[in-house]
Amino acid sequence: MTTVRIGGQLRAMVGAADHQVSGDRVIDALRALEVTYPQIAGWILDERGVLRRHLNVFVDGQPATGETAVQASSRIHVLLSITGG
Amino acid sequence: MTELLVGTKKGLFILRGDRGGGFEIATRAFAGEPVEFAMRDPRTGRYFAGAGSPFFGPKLWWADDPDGEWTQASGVQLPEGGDEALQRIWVIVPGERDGLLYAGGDPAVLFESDDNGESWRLNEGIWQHPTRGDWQPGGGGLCLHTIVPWPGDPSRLSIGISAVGVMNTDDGGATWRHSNRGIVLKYMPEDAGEIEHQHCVHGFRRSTARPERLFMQFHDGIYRSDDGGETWLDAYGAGIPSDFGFPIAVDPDDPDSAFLIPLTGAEDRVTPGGRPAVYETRDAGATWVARREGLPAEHAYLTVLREAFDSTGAGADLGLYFGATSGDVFGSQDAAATWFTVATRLPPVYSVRVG
Repeated sequence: MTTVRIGGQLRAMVGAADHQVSGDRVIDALRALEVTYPQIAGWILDERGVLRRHLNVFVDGQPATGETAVQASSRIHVLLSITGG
Repeated sequence: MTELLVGTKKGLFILRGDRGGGFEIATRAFAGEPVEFAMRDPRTGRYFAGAGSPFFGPKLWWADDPDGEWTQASGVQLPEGGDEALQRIWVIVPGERDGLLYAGGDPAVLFESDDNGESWRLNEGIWQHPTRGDWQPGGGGLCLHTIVPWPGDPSRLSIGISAVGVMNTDDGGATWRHSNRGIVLKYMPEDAGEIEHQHCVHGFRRSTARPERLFMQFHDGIYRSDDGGETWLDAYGAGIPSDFGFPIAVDPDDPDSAFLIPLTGAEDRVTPGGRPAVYETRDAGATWVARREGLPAEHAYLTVLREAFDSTGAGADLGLYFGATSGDVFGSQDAAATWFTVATRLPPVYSVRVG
């Protein structure tokens, strides 16, 4: 299964950094994470199913999008983008 | 003791105090997150906040103890799998039935709750409105920012959307009609013909004593209605330096009263001449008088946003409070006759509500 690693405020909501999920693409893996942890529904993906604009995802250390393919050995990292004011 | 909920760019500040002893910051919540609006339901004492995290999107929160844990309300979202996502929560307003609340947001959405704000549903009458495809956003987005119930009657409600205009319902929100007659669109060509719903309403309030009477701050105009918000009459009377501004308040005891904080105009949007003033009418908009005793006398180019002005009480004891993007908050406890400084150097103020 693919590993999703999340941090910060989201980690506090789901209780751990790493989570094992299924999915062929980043977006599928993140949807699977929402199913396991409904309290984060709407926090990473919006109602359209689109990754929120100021979050970044990486797959095995490389910048990725929701459409990026993942494998069982992949690690998806969800991070806050460098933004603010 | 007065309680003020001040939504800022950097969280919610709850101030408590009085004119004589000053105000203290009793609570800071949502540190680092923009709190675009916060209010306290006077019926239950429950606190609500609309916080728009740039990372995780807008959420509506409630708490019975603002120093304790806040709970994310459910259902404050658009239909899953659609083409749009909720952009911002603009306003939260108690309804005219036990447990009933409304919330307005961008893109022109109205949410309703029947359980004191714990769960919400989308108002389909607005979401599916036949003219929705023509609606255009104002500078702040396609925002449903004003929700004005009819005292004692939950079936009647008026809302304001920029830049769509006023919409009224008589059936509890099942159906809605545009209600902008009489408003002059100076930002449209004179030969544009009759326009039903491209109206950049900035805010309006209803008289409690005479619900048919409303006052409106328009994008470039001041209006009143004597027929429940169906038609609008010019109230840009003598004595007020600008017809541009955002916030508005009324004295519940006096249907001829309104209070505005005019700004220089759409291109500048600061208090005229660097001298902030609240302008008061007591004759239904025929004349306006500046009330500035106690406010900064010079070099104060403030911007006061739409939701950053509120009132409490009525008559001679009317309390008025407003905040600016400078981080200053001012108050009056004598119906605008004199003013005092409530707070300085807060983050930019987005909303002020009396708790």
